[in-house]
Amino acid sequence: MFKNIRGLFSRDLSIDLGTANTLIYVRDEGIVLNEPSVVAIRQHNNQKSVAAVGVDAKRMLGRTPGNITAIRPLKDGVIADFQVTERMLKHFIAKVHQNSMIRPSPRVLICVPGKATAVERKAIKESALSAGARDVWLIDEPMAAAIGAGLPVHEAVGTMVVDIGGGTTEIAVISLNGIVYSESVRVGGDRFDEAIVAYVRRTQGSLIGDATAERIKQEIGSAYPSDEIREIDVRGRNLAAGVPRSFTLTNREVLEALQEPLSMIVQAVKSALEQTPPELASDIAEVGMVLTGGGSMLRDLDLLLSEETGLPVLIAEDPLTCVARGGGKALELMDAAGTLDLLASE
Amino acid sequence: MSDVPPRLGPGALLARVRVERGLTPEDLAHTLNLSLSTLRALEADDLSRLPSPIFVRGYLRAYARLLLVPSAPVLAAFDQQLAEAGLVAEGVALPRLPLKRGLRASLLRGIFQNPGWVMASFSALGALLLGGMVLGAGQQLDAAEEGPSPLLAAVPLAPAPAGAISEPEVRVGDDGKPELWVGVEGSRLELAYASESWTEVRDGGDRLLFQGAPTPGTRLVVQGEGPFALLLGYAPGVRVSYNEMDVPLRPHTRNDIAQLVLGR
Repeated sequence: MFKNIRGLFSRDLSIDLGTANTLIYVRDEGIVLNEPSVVAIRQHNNQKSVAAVGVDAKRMLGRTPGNITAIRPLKDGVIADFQVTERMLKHFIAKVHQNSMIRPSPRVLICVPGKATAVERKAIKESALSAGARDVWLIDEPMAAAIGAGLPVHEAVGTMVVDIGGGTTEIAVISLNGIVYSESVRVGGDRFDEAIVAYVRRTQGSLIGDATAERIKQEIGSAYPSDEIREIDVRGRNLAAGVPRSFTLTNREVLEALQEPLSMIVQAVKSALEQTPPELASDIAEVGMVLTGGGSMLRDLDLLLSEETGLPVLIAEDPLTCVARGGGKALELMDAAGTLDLLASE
Repeated sequence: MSDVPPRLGPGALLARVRVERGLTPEDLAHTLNLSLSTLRALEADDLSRLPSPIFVRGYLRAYARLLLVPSAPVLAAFDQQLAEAGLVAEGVALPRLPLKRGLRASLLRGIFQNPGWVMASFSALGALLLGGMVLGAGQQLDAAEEGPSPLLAAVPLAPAPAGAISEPEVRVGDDGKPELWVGVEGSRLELAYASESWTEVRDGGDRLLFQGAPTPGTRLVVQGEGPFALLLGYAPGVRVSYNEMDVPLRPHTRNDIAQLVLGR
């Protein structure tokens, strides 16, 4: 009852609860929050309290004193730490309702990985309910990504979407508002970073942090060989000498480092194409597949997939926010048509 | 410039650049993994034979990237075309708004709940911008057609060259064949053309030294500070030597387009 009254002062939210970033889309306003899914927990005499959430907490990753731990409560797209996820959601929901004096109680649509189990789905739903949401719906991430990219999901035409997030890559073939085939591999932006860390340790004998690896990936990472040479200066701790040392990496070396995770994505896309019913496969062959998610911003990833599959590959507009925007659009469609077709089963 | 410049659709703009770079539709279709009929429809700006706009935007972007031209004007032209056809580009990112509070928030919400108003203002803005752009591009194209040496004219839409291109000096070689000379001293890059090929040469400071498509039989000699960045639109028709040494192009060639850096 009180929740309903409080609901009058709340907005409908679509949340892309990702491993790397959480995005919130508000009806009629667009993306209002885009922060890393990181929480810093301070421990004081067996009592835990939240020190920072989001951007502030990410800055602390790997640089915290003993009594503060910065953690990422989601792993591979699903909740790894239930309580911390709840605290993070509560913080983010409050943040987008900063103006209201009454405790917010919004209706929330959350995107979940297509391959999340019933238990994992329930955990996400419970988490949002305890964070103060009035109603919670779930939508499959690839479906939200496809809607956000503007694909004609309601038509009887097969479309393929590849959503490369922080923790997972979701591949789905969609037709008539439903997912015909979906495949999820636990490879994403994080695996790219890990691969770079491992490569640097192997070839330079130096240890770098995840944040540095991410910067290397964003600045000179690419998925397809080119003649252009780009370089970056990096500082890391030399394993033998134990002191910080700086060295230079080129885009070719980074490409070599990324080979393994990239080939896993390529394999997953190929196997999805093999499993697609022939009628839909011919639709896909004609128009191509669409890449969304932050991982698709890796330079020349579309070239690699295009070369490997022989299909046209396009990158969606603003790929990072596709899922959250798609969730928001699904909310609007749901209200307009009163249909729950798009939502995921629990 | 008294005539109204002809309005070119996004596909026609790209087709024009493609022709100037000496590429065939087959090359492009093969590289983009598109069927030839789709590519032809794309160049003819025939929306009825193309899939939904979100795909077409992607094709145009990939096409523009392949020709090394900026995609923004092409996509703007496409949005204009969509607006004229009465379609809205789906999947175009919504403007991001910071969280607004109080009166301003409700005002803004009012605006966004009234999409007609927004569409009108956006399309007016778009039309204004595009009008200027089409006019500019048209003038450039016209200039290119009327210029004294059409083969050496700058490609419209190409990124603005950093630094002016000095006109190459035309000489006649010992064997009576025409030669183009750029620069005076330094490393020497020689290109012998068996067939026409779009060519761009940049020096170590990313200054454009030469841009154009010399006729078959011509020899192009570029002298200057290395390393040279070389782009050839049709590599099989060109023999390249650098400081008197033959340069194999095959390893740097993809779909007949060669991109390489010499003298690093």
